[in-house]
Amino acid sequence: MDNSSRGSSMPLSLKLAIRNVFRNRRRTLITLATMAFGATAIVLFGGFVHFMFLSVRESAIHSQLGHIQLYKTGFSEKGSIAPFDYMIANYAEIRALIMQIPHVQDVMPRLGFSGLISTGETTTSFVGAGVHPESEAHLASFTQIVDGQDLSRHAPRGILLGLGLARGLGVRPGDELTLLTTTRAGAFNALAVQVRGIWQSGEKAYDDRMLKAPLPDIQRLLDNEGEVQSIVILLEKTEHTAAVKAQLATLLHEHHFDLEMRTWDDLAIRYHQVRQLFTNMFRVMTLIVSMVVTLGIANTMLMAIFERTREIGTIMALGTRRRGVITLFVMEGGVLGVLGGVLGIVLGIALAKLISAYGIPMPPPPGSNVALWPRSWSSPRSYGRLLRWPS
Amino acid sequence: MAHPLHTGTYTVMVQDVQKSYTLHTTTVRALDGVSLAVAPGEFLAIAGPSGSGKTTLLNLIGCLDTPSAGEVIIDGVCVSQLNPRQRADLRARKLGFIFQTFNLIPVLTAYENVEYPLCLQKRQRTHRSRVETALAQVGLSERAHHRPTELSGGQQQRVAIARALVTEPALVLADEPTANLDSKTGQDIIALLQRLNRERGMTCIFSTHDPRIMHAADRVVEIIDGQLVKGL
Repeated sequence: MDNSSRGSSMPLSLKLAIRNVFRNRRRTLITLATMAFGATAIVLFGGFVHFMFLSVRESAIHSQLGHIQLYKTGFSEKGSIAPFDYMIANYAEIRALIMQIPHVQDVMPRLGFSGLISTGETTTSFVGAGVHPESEAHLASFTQIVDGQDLSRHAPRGILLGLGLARGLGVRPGDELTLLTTTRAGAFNALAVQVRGIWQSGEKAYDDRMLKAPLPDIQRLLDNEGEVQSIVILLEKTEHTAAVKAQLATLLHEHHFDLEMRTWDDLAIRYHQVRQLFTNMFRVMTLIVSMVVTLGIANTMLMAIFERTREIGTIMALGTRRRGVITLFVMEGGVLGVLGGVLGIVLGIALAKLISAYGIPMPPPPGSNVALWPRSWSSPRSYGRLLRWPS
Repeated sequence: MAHPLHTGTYTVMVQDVQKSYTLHTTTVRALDGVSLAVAPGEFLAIAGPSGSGKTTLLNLIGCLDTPSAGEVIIDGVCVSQLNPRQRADLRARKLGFIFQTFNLIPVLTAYENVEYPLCLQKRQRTHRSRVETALAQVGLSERAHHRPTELSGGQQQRVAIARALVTEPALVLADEPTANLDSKTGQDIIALLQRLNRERGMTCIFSTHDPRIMHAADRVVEIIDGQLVKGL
């Protein structure tokens, strides 16, 4: 009968706690507002961070990387020294097989090269890729053609320049240029090309050095006809990556293709840097906001305790144990906390929805040259992921 | 240890109790060798001027404080041997308190204030009828769902009395229960305590310095400068 938690019976003590919370209405409202604003800030910032992860990820995938890339085994390690040793000859056969895997949207070849590009007056170095024009346009849905047109199969020798490269050279669509590079055999070779369009991807370093040209032109330029360097696979959704990767591994194994695989996750270095940075920022902000809110509640609770010493004395005289008194105040703090938290989350989600509906301009994430217009804000699950400590 | 054989027959035994407080560097002796025995069903008044030690004595009997020396025995239990938790339980089960300033919990209704001590006892089922009986006994059934601020001083003190007796304690302690009431209401309150004492055999100790009220008691002990003038 008189055992363990003789604090006070549940219903009356909860009633007492709730009524005590609203005893000083103005103070309670201010405390609730503190908590609600804190929670709102966390929800909004978390939503923004999550949005940024998504947009940096998708922009990396849909401007450069695709979801999965295939190379000749050993290319990732030594390909930069001896690129011609790691060429894929049977591209058409492999493509046909991969296209049969569910959720694969497109498969496209690439042939990387580098060299000098010249207007006759200005010359600079570049990194380029010979690509399949239509497929590449399909993949690069996040890059924006800021001037001119996209590549076309029907426009040989028409190339696309990154915005930074085009500015550096001072060229516009229609201008003539010369590409200078070394062939497979090590000889110099040049190709006269015309600027067809200028793109902006959002990643400045990429836009400053990169050009794209139709694959057949580059194969000819490099004296490397029929061969490609990498195969880029575009999926319906990024979430399909793991499943397709597994099926692809089986397929490569079954057909004894001597190929290695890299997913966007392996390749998107900037995505991981941004993610690391903002996850830490989010944690620090959460910590600071939590501290502020905790101190706010502590202040309110302390004031409540000091105001009510006589009342505490009374209920202790009636036989409430010390722990019962502590329980009462903890319950009051709990009622405040739950109310403030719920209020803040509701407010945060409402604001996030509003912001998602209208969009607000945000500064570009590090390494980017395109400002964000956050639209699709986050799902509750993403907060769990953000708050999880890295293992 | 003057009356070891008699402890069971008295509701309260106070044996040669001393209580001193230290204020800065001076020691104040609030009680100086007080002994008192209260029989079950007794209606006892502790009289004395303010500062004489009435409240200190009641606090010791009420297990709100511990003596510097001597023993307080409530219903056969030696209070000094209990830890704070056991003292809280003893208060909840055996004692009822009535305060000079009523001390109702302001956010609870009269009904809920009376219910509160029962909740500390975890006897959930019989709450309702007991609370209603207690309120009826103090004549406040109609005001059960009013908050203390909506009640007069006399009504508040009657709620406090209902709260003190709802657990059917062995002993009710009232520290100047009429001091904040006008004399007519004060006499009504004492009459009510007296009636409950008679009807229910409830042992009651109250302190007062009002001569008109102390005459209602079966026995009056007077305390001056921490010592009993009349007692035992």
